[in-house]
Order: sequence, then structure tokens, then C-alpha cells
Amino acid sequence: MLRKASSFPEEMLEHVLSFITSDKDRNAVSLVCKSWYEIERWCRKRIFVGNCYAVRPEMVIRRFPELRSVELKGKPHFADFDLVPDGWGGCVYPWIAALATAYPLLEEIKLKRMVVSDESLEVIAKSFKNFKVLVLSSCEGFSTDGLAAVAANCRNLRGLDLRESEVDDPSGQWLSRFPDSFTSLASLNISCLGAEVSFSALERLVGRCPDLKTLRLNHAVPLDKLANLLRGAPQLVELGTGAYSAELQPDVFSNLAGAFSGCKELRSLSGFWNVFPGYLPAVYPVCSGLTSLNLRDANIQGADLIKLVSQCRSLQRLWVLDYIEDIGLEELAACCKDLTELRVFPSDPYGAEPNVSLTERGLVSVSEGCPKLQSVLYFCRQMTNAALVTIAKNSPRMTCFRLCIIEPRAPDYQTLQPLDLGFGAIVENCKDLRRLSLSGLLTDRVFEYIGTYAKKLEMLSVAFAGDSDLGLHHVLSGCEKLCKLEIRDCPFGDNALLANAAKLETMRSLWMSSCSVSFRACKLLGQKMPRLNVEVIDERGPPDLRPENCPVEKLYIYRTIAGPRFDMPGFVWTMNGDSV
Amino acid sequence: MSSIPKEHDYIGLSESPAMEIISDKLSPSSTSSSTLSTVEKNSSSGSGSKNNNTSLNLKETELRLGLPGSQSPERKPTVPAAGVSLFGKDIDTNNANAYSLNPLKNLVSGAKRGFSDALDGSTGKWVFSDSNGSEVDLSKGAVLFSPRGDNGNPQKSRVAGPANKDFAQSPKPVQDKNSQVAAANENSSAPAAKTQVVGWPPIRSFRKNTMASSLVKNNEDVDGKSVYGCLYVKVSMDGAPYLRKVDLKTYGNYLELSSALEKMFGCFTIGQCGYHGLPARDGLTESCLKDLLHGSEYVLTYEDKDGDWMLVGDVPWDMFTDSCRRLRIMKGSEAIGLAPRAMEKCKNRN
Repeated sequence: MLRKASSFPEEMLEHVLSFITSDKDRNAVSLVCKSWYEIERWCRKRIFVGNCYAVRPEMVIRRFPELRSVELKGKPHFADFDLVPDGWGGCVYPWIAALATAYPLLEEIKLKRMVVSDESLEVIAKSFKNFKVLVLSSCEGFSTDGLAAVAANCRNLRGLDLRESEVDDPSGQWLSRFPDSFTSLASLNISCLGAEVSFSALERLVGRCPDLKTLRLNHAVPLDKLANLLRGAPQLVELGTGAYSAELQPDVFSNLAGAFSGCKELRSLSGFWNVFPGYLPAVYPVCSGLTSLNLRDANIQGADLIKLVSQCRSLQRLWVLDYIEDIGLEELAACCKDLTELRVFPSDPYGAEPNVSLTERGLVSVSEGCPKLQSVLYFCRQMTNAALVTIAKNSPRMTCFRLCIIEPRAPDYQTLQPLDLGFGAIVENCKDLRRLSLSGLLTDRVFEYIGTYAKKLEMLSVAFAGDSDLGLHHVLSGCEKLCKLEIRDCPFGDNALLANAAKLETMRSLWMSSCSVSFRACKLLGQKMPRLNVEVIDERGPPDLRPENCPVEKLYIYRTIAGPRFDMPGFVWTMNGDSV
Repeated sequence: MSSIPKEHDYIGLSESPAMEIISDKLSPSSTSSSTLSTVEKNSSSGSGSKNNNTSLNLKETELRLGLPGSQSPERKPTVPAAGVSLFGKDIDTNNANAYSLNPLKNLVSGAKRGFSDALDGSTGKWVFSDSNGSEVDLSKGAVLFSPRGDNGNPQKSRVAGPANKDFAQSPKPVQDKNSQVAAANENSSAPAAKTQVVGWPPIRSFRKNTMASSLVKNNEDVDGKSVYGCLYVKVSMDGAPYLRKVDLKTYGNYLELSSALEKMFGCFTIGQCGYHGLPARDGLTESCLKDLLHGSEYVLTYEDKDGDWMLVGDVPWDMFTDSCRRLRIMKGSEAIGLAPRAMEKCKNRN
């Protein structure tokens, strides 16, 4: 290769690059010049593919021959809320098959919102001799048979994390498939499993893995067994309990409290299904060290809840149900000054009337008391512009703000005005805002604010908002860093979309459902933009049997270098020059 | 952007002038000022045509019980609309609740009636496409959702099928809790719950199930249905390439459930028919459909809490929703062994 006298030796550049791990930095390095591109690609170890249909596995393999870790995402985010019909896609098998042949030394596979079959798990289990970490986040399509294959074959497994996945549970015995000689486990998350696992197998496994730092149990593990597990793993850093109730018996209680006291490294707690409040004090010994507390599934209310939370003075992350109420959030604001992330979930999202006293005031209190607050997800039933303006002023470092007012199109309940000004204040003051979810009554004006101020915004979620195409146009033309846009039930149609077609190639994806984009516009977009896949998802039948200006049900547009995909079910059509 | 359809089969729609402006302006390098003015110009026509959309004659697009063009009979609260109903037009609340000795037979023979109603009544053919891409022309009643329902739709049609209310584009049945709660609990003094929208509030569905079971357990005065809003179960169909999920709480009785399932899986049923060598071009004939259902090709079964497979319809609706873990649309031939076991189980329980 032709080299200038003053250029770095390759080995030196490789060594420097070994300290550069972020994808964005790596991508930037590869663009410097051809030789850097070559050097970088040979030493890249981790790859993140945000949309499994944006690239074909063969392309990844061709460019990066030495990967050790692959992370893939499949279905669009709105699949979490049942807006993507089953069968849409996101099957991981073609990837697994390709990776199995190309990377015998692969160590990590992380998947999100993908359909994973037992067969895929078997291939993983048998193809990678040094396999270490499997993360299946919000995945589905597999059963404990697949997990048994992983347990039986992956001798060096360090992490198995099934967070939020849907697993078919024909047998609870898969844990026993880990051989007795297997001791490398560091992280196990089975909180999503519906059925019981063999407790004795679990206990033996936990006892023989000295590196186990993360253990998230499922609700089927009873409370009286928890103490034994903890005594077998006092080095635990993250624990998810099982069901947290039993008849209150003093010896069970003291056993449990003693076990918790022995866990000096514990920093994160979750689980707490079915809490019997009498047992809560057993965790008090560890509260002061906790940085993360997830009570999202816990039915603790009132004083019990406040007492628990207020003891966790080092808390950085809190996920909790709205049982905490405004009063609890005030207490949180007073006690937990290091709080960076707060998520408040609804305990009764479908009730007509509020069942708890959680309002905008709670969030305002937290923004006032917690100067480090960066990430908020807040479900509530009422909001005002004034509250949002206050929150914006109190939390200029906010990076993720997701507000869900439960009633669609709810206005400022005091002034009856749209919440445009409030959200406008958020985007104007929070200059580092990367993620935003809107709700409540909103006109095109809020999108004007977003387009003007939200220059670092990467992901925007919109529902039941806006008046016209102008709203969508503001966002697409103004938000320079926009990567993912998801919209439902908004009066956005063809004009803004077509006028900003080029923008779509700079984004990962756009989702629009129950909007007013016509089939004709979809076809046009598909024809003119070969590097986009324009997918029309319509369960009413083929769109060309309806008039062209009939709106499509759902639209998913994503940039891709892989061309149209061929694994679509009968209700998905890709628009491109040929098929239209 | 779109104009009002003049006729049921959409002949005669005019080209919208706005679309031509759009295609001219579509160019990646257009400056923002020119596109903005274009958008502004079009957005006024956009909002104009938005009005057109919402003023679409809803009657023409709504799901109907009878012939398109005939007067729609007054709807009774729990009767599902449209020719896709398994039980045709004449079922009322009384019949729906009195689920009797041979529910399975009702299910299947009702299905036959429903389809033939649609075929007889419709002015067009009713065929579905299968993955071979045969001709599709859905009956008007079944297909036409208004693109965007009126916000304040005065028609309080209490249907479990896709309703022409807000957010009508979702193919999943939009729940109308009013009808459900009213039908299920006449004496309830709880405030009427709001209409549910698919996927709103944005909460994961498996969480809803988990939360329901853990939270309801701790309520002393629990009335499971009104406290908690959903119960998702998987539905599989023999021969279909993928599963669906349904929320059992969206339905008040077996009628609504079977109607919704038929809608969801109808395309697979007809697709199967295509495999038997019928001419794909003309799609399905009436007789083929009738034969399909006459032969009880498919039956609806469910897996209960104990892991046993039972026929749907044997037990009262509430008991069913409490114990149903998953649904399976099974080939009739495989289901033959189920009936005696189901009866035995009921006897043992009582």
C-alpha cells in the first residue's frame, strides 16, 4: 500500500483505536481516509445495527471480519403497544445463521424486539465456542427449550438476560441443564418468565457461581426462599426479588433481614410482586446504598412506599407506580438529591376516574428538588403549561422527557389552552434534549417550537396532536439530528412527507399510523427514493384495490442499503419502482 | 387531498389537484423557503380536504348488517356489525347470552350463515387474497373504515368490531367499555369507563397482564373486569404462518369474540381454500365457502389454567375469560376428542 513517510504505522493506529469503542466515533474514524477505513474495519469488535432490515448480514460480515459482539434491533418501537401486527417481521434466524458461519469466535449477541425461534437459540448454543453474553430484550417466539440448549452448551456463558421477553414455558426444568461444572455466570435475568423454575437448580447454580453480580428472579420464586439465595450470593450487586409476600413470621423475617444485611454490594433492587408490607423493613439495611430502585410491578402504597423510598438517599434511578402520589414525590425530592432518572407508571390506566392523587405538582416538586434530573417518563391525568415551563426552567440538563397524559388531547386543565407553550419551554430550555414524547392537546405550534429549538433531538413520539401537514413539516425540516420519528393518529398527510423526502434518508425510521398519508404518496416515495423501504401495513387488504388517495393504515419508512425485504407477511407491501 | 367517494365501489374519484403540485415539488434539493410556501399553500387545501375526509358520508363507510344501500336497522347494543358477523343480522342480546347446549354447532353454522349473508347481499364479489395474490375485492361493509373518525361521533354504535369511531383505522376491535360493563353487570354503580384506544396509554401488553393479576389480588372489593382493562391471549390457527394476540376484555361474550377472530383469520381460511386447486383468478365461489364451513373445517379451542385444551363455548363467558390462557383455531378433525373431556371437566367442577 502506498504510504506517506509521515503516516502512522498501522499497528500504532490499531492500538489507538482499541481505546475507541463508541460506534459513532468508530464510524467517524472510518471516514477519515481509505487506509483508516481499512484498519478500522479489521479491528472493530462490536457492531450495533439499529434496524435489522437496514443492512444484510453478508454486508456486515464482509466489512467487519473480526466481530465479537453483535447488537440488533427489529420491530419498530410502537410494536410495544400492539400497533405492529403479529407476523410483521424481525425474525433473527437469517442473521444467526450467517453469523454462525462467519464468526466462530463471537461472544455476544444482543437483540431487541426480534422474533427469536428455539432453532435460533440452538444454533447460537452450538456454533460459538466462546459464547459469553445473550441479551433478549422484548423478544418473542422462543420457549424454555431454546434456553435449555443455551444452558447445556454454552460452557463459558457469563450473561443471560431475558428482559421483557415473552417466553413460552413448557418446562421449568431448563435451569437444570447448566452442568455442575458450569461456574462462569455473572448475570441472570429471568424476571419475565411466567412459570416456576426449579428452585433447587437455581439455588445450586447461584451457589456455585462466584462472579454472579446480577440476579433478577421471576414472580414465581417465593419469599421464604429468597434468604437462602442471598446467603449463597452475598456479592450480588443487582437483585430482582420474586413475589414479596408470605405470612408474616418472625423467623422468616429475621432470616431475610439478615440475608439482606449480608449483601454489602447491593446497589439495585427490583421485583417486588405482590408485596406484603410487613416484610418491607427487611430491605431497609440496604436502602442507603441503593442507586437504582424499580418498583414498577410493586403494589406498595401510601406510607409504606414513601418510607421505603425516602431511605434510599443515594438513589439515582427510580421506577415506581403512581401510588407514590404527589406527596411521595415531594418526599423523594427532599431526600434523593442525586436522582437522575424518574419513571412513574399508571396503576390504573384504563379507569375513568383517577385512583390516586398524582398530578403535575409531583413532577414539578422533583424538578425543583433534584438538580441532576435528566430522564423523565411520567404518566398522569392532568398538566398545565405553567408546570411544564417551571419544569423546563428547573431542569435544563434534561435529555429525555416523556410525558403521557392519559386522556388524548387533554388541554391545560386550568386555562383550557393547548400545551404548546409548555412543551415549547421544554425544548427551548433543555438544549441537550435527545428524546421527547408529547401528549395532551397540541396544535401545529408545538411542532414549530420543536423544529426551531430541538436541535439535538434524536427521537420524537407524537400521538393525537397537530392540525395539519405544517406540523410534520416543522419537525422534518427543523430537527437536524432527528433519527426516529413515530406518529399515530395525527392529521399529517402527503404534503409534508413528500416535501421532506430527502430528510428520511438521514433518519433511521419513520412510523405513521392512523394518519392521512395516501397510498399514492407512498408509491411515489418508494419510486423516488431507492434507498428507503416504504412499507405499507394494511390489514384491510391490498391497497391497490382502494382508490389511490385513500389513506393507508400504517406506514413504516426506513433507510436501507439492503433493498426491499422478502419476508413480509400478507398485510405488508413495500413500495419501490418495480412492485408498484 | 382525497375527495368524497361518490359510489360504494369507488368508481369516479377525481384526481386531486393537490397531488400534482406535490409531485412537481418533490425534489431533494428544494430550498426550505419554497417548500414551506408550498406546504403552507397546500396545507390550507390540506385542511380543506381534511374537512372533506371527516365529512365523508359515514353511513356509506360504516360496517353494516345488511345490504349496502339498504336502511341500516337500529343497532342493538351488543350486536356486532357487518356482514362479517358469524351470526348474521338477527341475533340480539338474549341469544348471545343464552349460550346453550351446542355452542360449537352455533359457532360453525352461524359462520356459514354469516358468510353467505355477505355473499348474497353484497353487490360485489367477496373474496380474499391469499399469499398467492389472487383477486381481492372485499365486501364494502367489511372493509371501509372512515379514514379518521369524527372526534365527537354522535353515533354511539356499541360494536366490538372495528367501529367508525375515533382511531377507527386500527383493525383490532376498539373496545367500548360501556357496552361491556352494561351487559355484564347491570347493577354496577361504577362510573362508565372510557372507550379504549388500541395502544393507548402506551403500556406494554404483557405488563398489563402481570399487573392485572398482582394488583387485583390485593383489592378486597375486586370486580376483576372493571378494575383492570385487559387480558391478552395468543391466538394461533393451524396452518396460519403467525400468531395474533387478542384482548379478551374487549369482548363481552362469545359472539363478539368469534366475530373478531373470524375477521382476523378469515384470510387464512380462504387462503386454504385456494390450495385445493380452485381458480385463483376468480377467487372463491360461494359454494366453496359454504363447503368450507359446512365441513366444520375449523373449530375454536382454548387452553385453560390447567393446561387442558377445551372447546370454546362450554362454560359461561366469565368463567372462560378467567381460565383461558390461549386460543387455538384447530382443524375440525383434531378437535373431535375434546368434547367429552370438556363435559367431564365441567361435571367434576360442579
